[in-house]
Amino acid sequence: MLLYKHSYYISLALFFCFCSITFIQCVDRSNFKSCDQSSFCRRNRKYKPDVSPYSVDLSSMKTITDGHLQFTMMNTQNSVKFQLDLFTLEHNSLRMKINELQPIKKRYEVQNVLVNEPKLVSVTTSILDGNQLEGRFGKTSRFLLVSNPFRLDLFTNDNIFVMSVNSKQLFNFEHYRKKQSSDGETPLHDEDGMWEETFKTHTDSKPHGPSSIGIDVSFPNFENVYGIPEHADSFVLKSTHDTDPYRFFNVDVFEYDIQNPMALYGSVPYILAHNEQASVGFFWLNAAEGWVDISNDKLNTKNLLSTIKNFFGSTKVQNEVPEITTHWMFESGIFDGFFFLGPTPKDVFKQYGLITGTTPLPPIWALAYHQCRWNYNDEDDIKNVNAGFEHNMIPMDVLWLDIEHTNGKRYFTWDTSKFPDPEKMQHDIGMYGRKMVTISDPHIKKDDGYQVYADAKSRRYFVQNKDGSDYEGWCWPGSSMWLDYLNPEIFDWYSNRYSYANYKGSTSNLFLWNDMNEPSVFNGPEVTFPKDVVHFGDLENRDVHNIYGMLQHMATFKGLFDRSGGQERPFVLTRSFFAGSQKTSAVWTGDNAAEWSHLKMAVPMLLSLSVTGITFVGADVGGFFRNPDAKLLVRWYQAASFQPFFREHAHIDTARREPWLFGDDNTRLIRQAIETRYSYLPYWYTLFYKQEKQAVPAMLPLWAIFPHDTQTFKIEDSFMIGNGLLVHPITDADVTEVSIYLPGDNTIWYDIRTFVPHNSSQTALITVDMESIPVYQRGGTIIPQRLRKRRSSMLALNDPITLVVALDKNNEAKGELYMDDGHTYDYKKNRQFIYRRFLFKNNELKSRYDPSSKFDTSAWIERIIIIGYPKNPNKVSINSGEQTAIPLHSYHDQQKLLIIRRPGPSVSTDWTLTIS
Amino acid sequence: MRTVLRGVKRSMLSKYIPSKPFTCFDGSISMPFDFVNDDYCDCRDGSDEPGTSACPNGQFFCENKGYVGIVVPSQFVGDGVCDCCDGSDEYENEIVCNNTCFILAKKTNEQRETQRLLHEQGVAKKNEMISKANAFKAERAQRLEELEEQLKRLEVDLQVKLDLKNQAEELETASKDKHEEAWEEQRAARELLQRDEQIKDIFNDLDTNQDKSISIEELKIHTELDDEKENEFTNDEVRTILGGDSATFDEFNSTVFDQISNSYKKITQTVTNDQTTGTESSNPTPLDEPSKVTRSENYDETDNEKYDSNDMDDIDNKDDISNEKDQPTSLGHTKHVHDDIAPDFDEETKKLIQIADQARKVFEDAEEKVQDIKREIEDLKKRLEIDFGPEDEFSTMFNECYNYEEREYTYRVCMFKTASQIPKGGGSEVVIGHWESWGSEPNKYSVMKYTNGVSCWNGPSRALTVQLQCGIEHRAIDVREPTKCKYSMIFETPAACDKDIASKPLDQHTHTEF
Repeated sequence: MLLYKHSYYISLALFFCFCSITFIQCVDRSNFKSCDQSSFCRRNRKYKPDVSPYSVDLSSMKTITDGHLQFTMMNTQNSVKFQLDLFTLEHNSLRMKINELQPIKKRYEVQNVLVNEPKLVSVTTSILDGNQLEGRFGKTSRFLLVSNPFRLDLFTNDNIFVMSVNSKQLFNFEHYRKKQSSDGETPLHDEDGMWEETFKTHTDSKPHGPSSIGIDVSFPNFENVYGIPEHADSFVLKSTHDTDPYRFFNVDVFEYDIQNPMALYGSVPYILAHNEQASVGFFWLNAAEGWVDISNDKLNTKNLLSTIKNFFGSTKVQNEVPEITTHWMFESGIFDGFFFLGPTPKDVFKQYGLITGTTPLPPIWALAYHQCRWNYNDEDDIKNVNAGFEHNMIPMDVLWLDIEHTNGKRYFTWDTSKFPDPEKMQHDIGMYGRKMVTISDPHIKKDDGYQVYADAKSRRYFVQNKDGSDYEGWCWPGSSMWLDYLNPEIFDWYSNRYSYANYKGSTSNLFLWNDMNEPSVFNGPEVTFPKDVVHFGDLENRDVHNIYGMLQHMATFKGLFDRSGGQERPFVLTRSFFAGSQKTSAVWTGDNAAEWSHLKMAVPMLLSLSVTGITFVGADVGGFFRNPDAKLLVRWYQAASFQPFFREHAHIDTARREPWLFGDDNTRLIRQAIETRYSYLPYWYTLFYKQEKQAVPAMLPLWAIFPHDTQTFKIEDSFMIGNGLLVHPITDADVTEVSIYLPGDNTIWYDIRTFVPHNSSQTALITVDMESIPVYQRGGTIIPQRLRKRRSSMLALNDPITLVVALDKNNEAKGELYMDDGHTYDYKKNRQFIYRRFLFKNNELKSRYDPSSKFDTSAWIERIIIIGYPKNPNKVSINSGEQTAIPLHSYHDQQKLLIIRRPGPSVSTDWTLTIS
Repeated sequence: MRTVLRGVKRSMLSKYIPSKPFTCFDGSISMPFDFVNDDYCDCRDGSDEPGTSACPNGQFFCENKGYVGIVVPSQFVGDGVCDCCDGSDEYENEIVCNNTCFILAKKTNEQRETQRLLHEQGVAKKNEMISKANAFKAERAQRLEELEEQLKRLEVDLQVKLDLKNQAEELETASKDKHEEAWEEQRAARELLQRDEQIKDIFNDLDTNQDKSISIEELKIHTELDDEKENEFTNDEVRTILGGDSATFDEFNSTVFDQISNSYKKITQTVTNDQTTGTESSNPTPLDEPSKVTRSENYDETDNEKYDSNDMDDIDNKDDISNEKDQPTSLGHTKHVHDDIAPDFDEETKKLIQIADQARKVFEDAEEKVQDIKREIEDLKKRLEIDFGPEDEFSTMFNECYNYEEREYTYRVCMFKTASQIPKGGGSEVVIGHWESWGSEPNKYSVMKYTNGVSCWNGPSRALTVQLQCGIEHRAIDVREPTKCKYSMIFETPAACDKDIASKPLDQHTHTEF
């Protein structure tokens, strides 16, 4: 949702920037800090000592438990002492914490992110030469801790050198200090901005002074790094040599620009590196404002050498190994780094997932199509939009209500003149198997007549100024306050607002959307909280800023979980997020625009989120700001129909854009795209189940499935859905041809519409028209589909399944199908689900399952399509238990397509299909 | 083999003969009859599965006994939603659909009858409107004819009156000129006399010692005669004016008077006092300039009000000053003010003027009449050009205004003119559209478009779409804004009533099988 709306924006536009010509001019980059304007970033970026003053005392090593080693560390320049903890973790992971040994104020360690205390594995250590400690853990992982200057090297598969900490000597830990240094201690750098800094009209009082931490993490032999969302930038992270660093600071950026490292709504301080040999990751658990510089050292070395070659004389350049160095800077907190040693992409996903959690299986309808707009005006509007979907036979599962549905932006209330009977409305929509979502933002309108405000006010539940008064700012409702979710009592109280009793007019058919939760404060510095506002536990927003939004959506999730007594899976969408947000919320990329460039940008943005664990993600279809033309809208539907979270949304100033408003031809194209999504829902649902279990995202970069194909490493215009579908959305106007790189070694790719095969390891030139969504099923996979049409996903739960078997060069294929009731926790609590494995080999297709689970369904196997089958067989028979049937088949020579008609067995039984 | 063929219309049953193979309606494939409704889609056109959800493009017929048989898409079959009133689309489902056909039929018939009655009543009113419109139209056409005829006549008449007027004016002008020339001569003579008087007056005035000669000392006290005000009025300067050390009356008359007459002030007179004030406060520009500079430097939006009032003051000042400036400052002018007014015209001239005045008035009256008729013709033509519906049924609504009251606004539509939104809490009326056109076929006359209203901030120009429906009264019953600044109104009017609906017998159903 945008920043300035209704009457506010005029007054605010005047207030902030006094340019009333258009609002595009009003919000620009200058509303947000550059590194130069953020003093700790400035200080750390400047920090380049000849020799790092930090030294680890190896003799101080203590084994706390097997797998947990503790050391003392010192800054030899000022004698400040630190504690360094190493934890060797299961699944090739290592954690290193560095904190002040005796801080004058406790430094914040981020809560609410880790799933559990990570499991330790034993470590074998040996001192190598007095200055180095070697540790071996897991099967093949190894670290080398260098004492002086401090350095940590990490190796995977025994000897593959993959990460190095402080090898560039940028580690810089600003200890807490008193403003007047009594001991004559001299600061390492100039004091510029250490005790106060001003940005625009806002002054950050910094009562605790400097507290930042900088560190470098290098990835030797890697050329590509990914992750650290959220930025509207390329998937492969760029060198920041000539730009600002990538920034972490959750903010509401009005009409954000693309292709730059500016901070956006959420932060996941996690980076992945991938090459042919290994995939690794580094995660720094820190919720403060942060910046990451990225440099490609191979390039830098060359440049360096060319300019000062003479100085080096005849020194031969031997090290031609590429290396990426990342320089991380956070304003406060501690160093709490996790190193994931892979070595495969799937290993890295799992390693990170074990630490921060995975996306729990969403209710199936959440993976279907969502229809949203700011705003559907009233109950009639909702009724009519629903009728529009009926009339035009377009499947749809969820109707959304934006802020105007409330009584004056008082969340948990309704504008009763427009929504006199919300329960009936939800019930009527529910008749079609559909759900509704309402918005609930974190700003609480300052109004004594508003129950939520009055209660919270009297309980002193709001975030406070440093003088102890309640912090007050401006947002949609005007003067507002913000709940302090850091306090567990407030967190629980807030989640309880979602109970049926407290949220009048809500029903079990209603789900939630948390927006503006960075939080967005129209008159705050950088449109958010001042850093010196105070949270529970004597914390400043400075310490916890980036988890604020997550805490809100976690509490919302809990509220929905609790209201059903833990029976029903909640659905929550959030704009702001942090590492671990995936456990409770879907995420969308905020206020994009109806531009082709934004359609294109959605893929790298969603991939960056996916690989960092935020897997239930999408971008507003059509673009939030401005009006898409029919072509852009159709292409956006086509692209989004293959992206995890699929929702159309639009700004209040835009023209209506429901799918049937662009002429019959475009209605048909949009219907086709949405129907395609519904046909693949069994596959999506299976992928999300696997995601919950194994942490492999549903939407993936090509290299995650083809880790050895170097051609894939920079691709961001194609992506995988699971390991079976390669998607190349069309993101340019008026194209008649697209080039698509088809990865893999000896792999066949079948066009899902025409079944035409394409060979791998080539860039195929594909002719396209407006109907085209270039999607290819990989030979060797079996994908379950529902080819029958229904108006919503919940009404299709018992519909039969079609298996699409795409054969590889060896005439083999495999796949899975997960199925359950679509909305409860019975799959977890009572193992009520079906998880089928299908294997095609030697002319036999077998369906097998894990007998420990059980789910009754009337769904059956309606059709089996085998693509790439060499010849028309004589006979096909199917055996399920004692029965053998001879289903009919048809063979289509040209496409080498074998279609088995009505094989018939229930999805829940074992069977074997034999072709002879 | 099934005895009942689900989902098939009676009229199509002949295509499904159980003893014969079934051929898809498109002729593409033939198959054993067992394949019909076996829950697997064989035909591209969906014709083999009329009774199941197997075909994505299939159609299911519900008989809906007691009501109207309808066709629903196959995807509605067995999806748990009761789409057919006889529940036949959910034959296999766990949910039980009550048979609501009888109730529905009753309700539909009631509704239809209500509608029919409404349309019947409406059509009666509509017919009145039509006949009124027709009468108007005939009247108007006749009127137009009349007017055009009248215009022709009047235009001829107008020419005659113009000629008369010109003649009268010629005579009038000649006579007036003569009279004025005489007066001018008289006045010139008198002015000369007056000048002599003035010279005498001033001479006597200056000649304070009464020696019939103006000395340097006598003139020197009149510093206003000094050309270089900043310096002293020196003897040399006075001498230059006097043309010597003194001037006699004749010398004064011939050389001195013309030099001083414009500047000379008779301090004792009130007129002179006024002049002094005027001179002192003249030249307002220096005051004005700095205030402008200050304004642009200090300009910011919070000082807006202050600035506005300053500006007002400035303007007032300026006006005052310029008024004073316009007042006579020279002696000559002052004298002129006191000049006598010209004497009345002689009787003959007066008469001629009277005649000319008369001719002018007659002409002007005639001209006005012609303009009025032209305007009326134009209006009539314009109105006759508007499409008031196939039977002119909307004609009587022309320029009639109707309001719709909503929480925040009153919406007003003035038919075939403009539509506007009036804020209830005060504030100015916003035009949300001007009459543009009817909607598009097939139901062209059920939609009115008012477009090109005031533009929205950062958005499109406002527009209103009026959906018309049959009603006994003219009234707006709903206004919405589905998209920002794009309004839609539902408006009831007898003009939208349909005589076909009004006369439709009850047993004839509008939508049977589709």
